[in-house]
Amino acid sequence: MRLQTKERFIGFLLVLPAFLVLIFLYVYPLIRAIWTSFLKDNHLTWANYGKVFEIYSRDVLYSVVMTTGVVLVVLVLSILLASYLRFKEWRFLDLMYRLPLFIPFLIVGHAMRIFLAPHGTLNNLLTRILRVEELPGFSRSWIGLLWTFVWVMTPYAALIVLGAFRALDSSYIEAARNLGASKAKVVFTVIMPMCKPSIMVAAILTFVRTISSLTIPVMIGPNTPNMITVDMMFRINFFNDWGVANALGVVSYLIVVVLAVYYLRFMATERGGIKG
Amino acid sequence: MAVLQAQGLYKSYGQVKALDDVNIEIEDSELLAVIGPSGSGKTTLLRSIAGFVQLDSGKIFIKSKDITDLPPEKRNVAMFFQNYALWPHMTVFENVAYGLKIRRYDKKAIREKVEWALDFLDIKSLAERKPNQLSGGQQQRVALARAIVVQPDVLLLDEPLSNLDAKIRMRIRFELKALQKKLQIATLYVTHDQEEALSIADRIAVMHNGKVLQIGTPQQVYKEPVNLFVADFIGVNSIVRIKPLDKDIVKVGNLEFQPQQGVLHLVIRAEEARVLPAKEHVTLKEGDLKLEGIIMGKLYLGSKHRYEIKIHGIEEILFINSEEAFKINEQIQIIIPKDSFFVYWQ
Ligand SMILES: Nc1ncnc2c1ncn2[C@@H]1O[C@H](COP(=O)(O)OP(=O)(O)OP(=O)(O)O)[C@@H](O)[C@H]1O
Ligand SMILES: [Mg+2]
Repeated sequence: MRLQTKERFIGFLLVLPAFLVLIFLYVYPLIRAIWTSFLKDNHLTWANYGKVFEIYSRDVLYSVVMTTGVVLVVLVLSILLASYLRFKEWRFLDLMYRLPLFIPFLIVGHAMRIFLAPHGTLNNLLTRILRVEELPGFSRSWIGLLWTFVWVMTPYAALIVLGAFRALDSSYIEAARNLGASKAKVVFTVIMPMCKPSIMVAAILTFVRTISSLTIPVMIGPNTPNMITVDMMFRINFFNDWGVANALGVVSYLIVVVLAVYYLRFMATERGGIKG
Repeated sequence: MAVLQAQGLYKSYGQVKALDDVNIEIEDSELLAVIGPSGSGKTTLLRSIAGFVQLDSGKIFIKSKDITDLPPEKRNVAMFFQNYALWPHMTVFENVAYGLKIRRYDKKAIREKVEWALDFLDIKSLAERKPNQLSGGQQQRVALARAIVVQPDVLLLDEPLSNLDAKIRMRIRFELKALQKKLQIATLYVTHDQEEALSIADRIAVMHNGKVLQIGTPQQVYKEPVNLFVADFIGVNSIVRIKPLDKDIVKVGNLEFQPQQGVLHLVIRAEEARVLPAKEHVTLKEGDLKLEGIIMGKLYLGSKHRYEIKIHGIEEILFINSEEAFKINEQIQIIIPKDSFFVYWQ
């Protein structure tokens, strides 16, 4: 009995550091943020959320739609890329698609501004090809933002998806081809269903990273509507209004939580269904 | 009419010749077993017929149609994978129906055909299960059903029984054979188990280092092996090597051999040799081999013993099974019928 208590205590000591890190770096800030979001002039109130709803509901919607759009485009691109590389060894492409992983967001943002500006690289090219005088720039539009997000996020997602595709035993693919399935058919009927968990992970990571990204929307995004993160920054920088900023933060957190719950439920059925 | 013809297949991986001028034919509803030691190119041969190996040269015909350059999905050969490769996200029914769906059969036809295949393999009750809810033997049947339901021109089996334990293997071996005969489907059956091959094949092809050394019926391959490798690979054997001194005639037991280049290899079918007490009188037939020796050791094997025998005048020890009981150091004679030993100079 005594030994057991002692063992328990040692066990507790062992997990304590990890536990403390979790508390200080995750749980505490989260609770603080939620707490602050209900404070206005030192009173507990829904006022901050009222403001979020009043001023920023369009931006919240815009963030969700933009992020969902990014996720969809990124998934399509990374599945295409991963399918191609699963069937065909191509060293060059295999290296090139990872390149954006090593470029900081700030530099990407700057590069895209130059590339997408009204008289930037892209438009110079387009005006010459289309033989027109002027073209609007994409650098301050939703198209530019989507483009840049996709450029930044695709390598991460592709890395995950390709890893899963490559880990899939070839016999599953060969069995399908042997029975008459073309490569495209194999991707849809065998590879994608069998790699669904990894594709889900790629989608969710892309979603979270996109909706919480600040650098890129600040540098590329249109002035209005804005991503939630940009609104938070303005709230703090110009109004020193931590209450509304935190309320916005909690809203974006809730969006992610909905996703997390969905993901966990999916994983549970997946495990029950396939792995037994 | 041969269903499958492979002509002059070559394939190398770097220095390794996985296929080295392979020529085989499979007749209608014939079961051709391909045997050989590990790394002899059996799987490579199978996969090249299925279209998963790019050949260096050679041609493959199915029903006289050149399929050498067709992709795997256009070949109508069904392969059975060693690990079964059943798709875990589909039920048994969906797994079996897959090839039919790809071939755009209508719903009713698919249902009928799948039910026929499941019935044929006696697994109808498993239709709605997922592969992870099946035993190894059941998975194997599903994999077979999936392969035969599309009515392939050729069935390719790569060591189909290697995942099963010895007892079940014996039973399934004959079931497979019966099934193949009932379906009348030309089959190429890869195994490295020579006993399995001898018991179920119509013909056997023996491979070594990418080459087909001999093709023939089990009897031909067993009774008339073309070279030392085939003789040794088939059956349970004991080999004796004798280096001739000078240009003398080589004497082995009661027989004499003209000296040739190299070393004399005597391959003895241990299952066919008889061990008798030295004093017992036997009348030899023309060409039978009689060796005299002494028992050095014995192992009890249940119904019989395995004896370790030293032959007079020969250094190597023979291992021969016999039902009779001998004592260690007992003088004995071994009688080997004419067609149960082979002599090669190499
Ligand atoms: N993809 C490959 N790359 C390089 N070498 C290969 C490849 N596939 C096969 N080989 C080589 O070719 C030779 C024949 O291989 P194969 O798999 O056909 O042998 P096997 O007769 O099926 O052997 P086993 O009984 O062990 O299955 C071996 O030496 C093997 O190492
Ligand atoms: Mg093999």
